Amino acid sequence: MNSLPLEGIRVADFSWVIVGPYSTQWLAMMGAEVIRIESTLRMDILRRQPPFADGVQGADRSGLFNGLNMSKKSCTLDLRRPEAIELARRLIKVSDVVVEQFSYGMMDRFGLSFESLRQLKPDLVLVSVSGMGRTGPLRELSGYNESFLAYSGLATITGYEVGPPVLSGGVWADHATGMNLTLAILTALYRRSQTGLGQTVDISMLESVAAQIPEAIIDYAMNGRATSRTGNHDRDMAPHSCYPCAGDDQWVAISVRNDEEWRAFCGAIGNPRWACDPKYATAQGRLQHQDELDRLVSEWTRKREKRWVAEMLQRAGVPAGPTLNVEEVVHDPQLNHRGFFVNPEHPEIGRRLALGMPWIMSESEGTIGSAPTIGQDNAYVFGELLGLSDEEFARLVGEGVIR
Amino acid sequence: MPVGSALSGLRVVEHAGFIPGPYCAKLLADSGAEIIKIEEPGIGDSSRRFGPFPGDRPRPESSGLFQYLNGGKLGITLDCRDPEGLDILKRLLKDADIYIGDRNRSEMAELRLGYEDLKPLNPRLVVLSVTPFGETGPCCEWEGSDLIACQMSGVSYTTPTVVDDPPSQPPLRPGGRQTDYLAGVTGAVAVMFAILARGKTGRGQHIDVSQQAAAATFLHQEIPPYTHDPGGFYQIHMAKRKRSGWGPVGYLPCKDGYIAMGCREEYQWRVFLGEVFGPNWGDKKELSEVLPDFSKFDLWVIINNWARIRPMIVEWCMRHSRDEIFNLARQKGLPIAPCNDPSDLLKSEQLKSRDYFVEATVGESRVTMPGAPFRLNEYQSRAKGRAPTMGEHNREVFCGRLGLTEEDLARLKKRKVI
Repeated sequence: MNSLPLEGIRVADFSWVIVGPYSTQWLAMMGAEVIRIESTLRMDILRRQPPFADGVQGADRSGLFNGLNMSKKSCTLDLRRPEAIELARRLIKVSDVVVEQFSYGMMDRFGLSFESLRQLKPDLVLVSVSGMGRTGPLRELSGYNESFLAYSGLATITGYEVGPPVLSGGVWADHATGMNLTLAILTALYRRSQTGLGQTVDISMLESVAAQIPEAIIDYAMNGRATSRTGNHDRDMAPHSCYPCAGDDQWVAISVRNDEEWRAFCGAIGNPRWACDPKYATAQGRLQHQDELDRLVSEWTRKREKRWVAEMLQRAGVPAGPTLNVEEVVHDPQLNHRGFFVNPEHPEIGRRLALGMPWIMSESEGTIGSAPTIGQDNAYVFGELLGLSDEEFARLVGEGVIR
Repeated sequence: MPVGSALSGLRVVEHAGFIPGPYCAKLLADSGAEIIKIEEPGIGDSSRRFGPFPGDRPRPESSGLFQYLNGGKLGITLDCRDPEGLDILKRLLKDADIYIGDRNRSEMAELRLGYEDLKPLNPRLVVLSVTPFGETGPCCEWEGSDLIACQMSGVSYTTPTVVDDPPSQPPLRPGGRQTDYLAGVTGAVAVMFAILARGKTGRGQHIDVSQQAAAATFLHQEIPPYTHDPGGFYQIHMAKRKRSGWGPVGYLPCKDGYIAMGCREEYQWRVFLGEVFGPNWGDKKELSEVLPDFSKFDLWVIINNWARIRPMIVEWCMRHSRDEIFNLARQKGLPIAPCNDPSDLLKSEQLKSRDYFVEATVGESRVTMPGAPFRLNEYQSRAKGRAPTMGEHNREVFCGRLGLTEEDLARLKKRKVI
């Protein structure tokens, strides 16, 4: 029995690039009809960026776009044209959720302000995602991932102990915010289902990211201390790092969380003399002598294969895991066991491996469809949903309103 | 509409420790759900033993982390391995909407708390299991951590850093414990999907969230090159770890710290070079060697010559503070931001105007903490309720709600069930 939670929910999706689409992709996979409003005149950057399938450029061949927009529909509108705005309003009138990610004031300038949409359909869930939020002195700030990693303080605590702040893997600010954005939309939909009332969501990348570094913020507020960059170390746990293994650029991550795991670790590696030193018996001691401890652990791992080390330590109850590159992730037995990688058939480029869902639900399986080609669903959206006649549709296409 | 109450009426029983499960519950609490948090008598949630602590003095009621994650929850102690303890838990679950756990499947089956045991008890119950790798598969019994999830999801390997000496520079995790929080958010998302499904079907369900998989969903920029153009783009730009990310985008040192340089469109670079870096940029001999014709440069000129251009820009940055550069950039609408630390955040007018921070009691101090990651409707920041002491709400929950007597409580306490 597969019951998709968002079946019957329609999302008018004005978002683009990463944060909005990452979020609405989960909605689409769990049953919502997500309609992206695009334009060939102002294409999503991701449709224009490599890698393209087989190295051949094309708006429908982009790996980055196709991986973030699965199961969605696409229509095109030139939003500079009044008739396009009218069509957008009509689409919104038959939708449940509106998501926008424009720079400050853009929706107002289009004539699609949240106030006017609220009047158009009072029970809409209206969602705005931006770097700083829609209020406040910095509401007009433009920026991308690295700006919000920087402003939120995450950049300052990311990097090697000796060295500058560095970017995080993934597109961290966008993705972290995107998952929070999905939660916000679902919360709003739930509230709406209970009350019949519309909801407004204002989510800022700054606030989403800052909510995930409480340790650093609280340490400062409490003790006046700034957290420094510590590589892979942890503020409370040691040994806690990546240790070199046999081969070229091979590593194993080990994180001993408490004294019990430390004793298990010592036993697993054969209780060498150095490990029995009482100075390592407590977390405090291990943190204090961390550098020396790391050197000793490295000497042990250096000649051993990373997977062997991880499996052996895990059998002893010690958290450990090999560092995987992209190829190894794609072939990882655990992720594959979960069916994490999906392979939807795309009309232009056929099947390409993509990322699926991180949850498995016993009654709600989720659906994986390919990403849309640009404007793929114009006939459906304008003809079927909005009831335009063939002549009207042809006229609007010819005049470049639907474009 | 009362604020922060979108999920009012939802009852959550949380049976988890450290960050993922408790943060998931916290997010639901931020929107008004009620959380009953179960801790093992005498032992408690491990995050009580993690800092920061006021003055670095560890005490179980003074952990800043514990307060952040567990403020406002009802705290009970319960040993679910004891038959009476298990019975009490099941009575709580009979009336609950959501049950959050972080134990692996065989442990839950041993405790007789597997979904097969709970479904007949309360068919409307949504049961979330959030674990490092998931409930089944070759790694399902593995212990995990944020570091391990980062390393095994590909997030660390694909960190865009210039790695000059790979043997001494292992793949990095982001600062803090990012995937632990991510696992919590992902769990909350899945729970809300299940709650919405329940609205249609009248039934709960079981959810299996993997922290490794949640982190791996962030590889949207990395997996496509491998699957769309493995011999081309992936091979050239990504197969080896010595990466610099997107050329000019990254962090640059300045007089009093670092700034984030985010210019990636041509018009942004023209404005930066023309109006911020130096209006007379044409007079800078070295720059004009690289960019002889301002009217004809395109972005690739910047990218291809970044090794030569970067030192010139850094030299300029080193003569200006973060605030100066940020203000100049703001005036010109350029995507450049200061690398803040917490002291900057706490002073930020932007965050203050949005009422972002909340105050909470940690031990004997009042401490400022981050607020909720999103807001619905007319938002008002609320002071966070204090996190519970061990078993603080035993009486309220066991006697008040389940009808146990004082004698029952004394007896259970004596047997160390609570």
